[in-house]
Amino acid sequence: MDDQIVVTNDLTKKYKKHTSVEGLNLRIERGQIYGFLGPNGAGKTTTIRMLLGLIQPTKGRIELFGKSLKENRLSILERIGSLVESPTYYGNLTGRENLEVVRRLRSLPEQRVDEVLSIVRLTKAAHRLTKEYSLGMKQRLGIATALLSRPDLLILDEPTNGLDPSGIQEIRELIKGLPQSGMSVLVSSHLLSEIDQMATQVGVIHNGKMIFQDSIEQLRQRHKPLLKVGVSDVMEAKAILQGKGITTGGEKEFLWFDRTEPAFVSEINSILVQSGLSVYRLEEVKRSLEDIFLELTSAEGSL
Amino acid sequence: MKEILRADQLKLKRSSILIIVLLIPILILTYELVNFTYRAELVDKQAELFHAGSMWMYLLYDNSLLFGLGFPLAATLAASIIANIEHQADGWKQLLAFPVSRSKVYLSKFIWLTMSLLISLTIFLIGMILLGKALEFEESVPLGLLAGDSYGMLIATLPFTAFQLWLSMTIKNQAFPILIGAICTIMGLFLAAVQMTRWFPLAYPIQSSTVILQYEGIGYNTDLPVYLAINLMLGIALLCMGVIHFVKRDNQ
Ligand SMILES: Nc1ncnc2c1ncn2[C@@H]1O[C@H](COP(=O)(O)OP(=O)(O)O)[C@@H](O)[C@H]1O
Ligand SMILES: [Mg+2]
Repeated sequence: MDDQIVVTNDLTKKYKKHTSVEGLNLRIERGQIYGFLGPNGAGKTTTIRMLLGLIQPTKGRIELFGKSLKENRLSILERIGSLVESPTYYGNLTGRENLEVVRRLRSLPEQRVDEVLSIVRLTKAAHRLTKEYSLGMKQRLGIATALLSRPDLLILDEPTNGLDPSGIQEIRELIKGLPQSGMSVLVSSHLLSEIDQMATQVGVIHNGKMIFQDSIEQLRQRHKPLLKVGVSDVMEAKAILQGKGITTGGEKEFLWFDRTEPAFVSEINSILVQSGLSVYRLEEVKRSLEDIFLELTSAEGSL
Repeated sequence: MKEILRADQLKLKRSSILIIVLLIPILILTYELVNFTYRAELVDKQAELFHAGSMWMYLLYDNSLLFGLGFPLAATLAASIIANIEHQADGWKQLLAFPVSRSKVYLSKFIWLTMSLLISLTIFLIGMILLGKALEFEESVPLGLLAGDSYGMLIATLPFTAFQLWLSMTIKNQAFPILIGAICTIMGLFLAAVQMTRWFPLAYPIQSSTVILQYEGIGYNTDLPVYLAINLMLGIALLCMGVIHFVKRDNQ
């Protein structure tokens, strides 16, 4: 019970006619890095704004740390650090002063400012005005601000958006280290590769609906490449392989397998060739995030 | 509340709020300095014609139009600057995701706005006294009249200020609130000129000087206490409405 950090039930947000988030049931447990994945416009930011009490849900319940957000907004926000979309920065203030604003607001100890500055490696730039900061530095300042109060739950909305590869790498490593201190993290992204490299749990949102929510391993299964085999007679090939105990998915023209290791590929090939069929194509097909979305959405449609 | 006030104070650092605070005192006092030196004869003649009780009273009468027009504009700009600090920083989402009550967030902005205007008025008051001393006005300083004229303006514009703050906080593009503020200020001038409409609260800033020109000449403004009482209550009501709206609204 105590380990359920985020629970939403039937969370829905409607803007006039358009439904941005529909019937979302989010589950995040203590110590997880929850990757919230979805293409642009899927409803990630809208969901996060609702979790932070910035906008009111049209329907549904939100429980954080086992308490209802509606009744306990302030005591819940006490335990959260967040970065929503583009980072907040007061351009007329230095990096340190930006953190000082938040430190004053939340009555935190002064040395905490130095600590977070060094965590995000902004100590040297701390005395420069933030309007002169690069996008990466602003993003790091945003993360520093979110970490300032030592939150139990950190919510980061596309924290690597617009960063260069080394900046992305840096933030990824930073996030991966956070659960060691007992923190839970919700991090959103529109890139599967990124979530793949840091998350332990994944929720996939598409057109406002959650179409997948499970461990990262489960998603990786779906992400595995497939073997596509072109053969002269698909029906006969299927029958032959069935006889050997190898099941296969097949369309009109091709056979599909969910294994691609070399030994398996050559085994299939030799079975088919020895049976007198001609094999004209053996291809490993990588599935993109779009393909997985398509697969997930069509699966949902067929339920 | 103390925490958020101190946090908001830091946000004003290196902002242009200081310029707005100094704007009205410097503009009006410079105008009066020029007026009382280069056009001294004309000023003396007019003071006599209007039966001004003292040069201090003439000074108050002379600057009342500029002050009544200029101060609401300064309040418009100050409200815009204070709200725009958050708009520009994209700061609302961060501020409101902290464990602070939304009404305190709103009130803190209002308090800093009022504080800026109060400082501006104090500078204006001190400036007027120094100006009178420098020009060697014969009569002793009528502190009550001068202070009433300066600080009365804060209350006379309170509903306007509360409304402008709400507009600037609600609308991101500051061109719109500033335009509305300018239009309302000019409207106040026209409303004040007509006997029927001069009781409309928007017309009070123009008429809120402690001295006015009557048939008998420059005398005390006996309507002022009524203006101030009405606008104090209206101002508080508008402030409360602003808070209520801000607490309820969705925040992008
Ligand atoms: N204030 C709003 N009014 C109307 N529609 C909105 C508003 N905010 C977001 N939306 C819509 O909701 C959908 C989800 O947006 P968003 O949550 O920002 O997506 P994501 O963060 O996943 O890219 C989009 O179609 C967007 O246009
Ligand atoms: Mg988004």
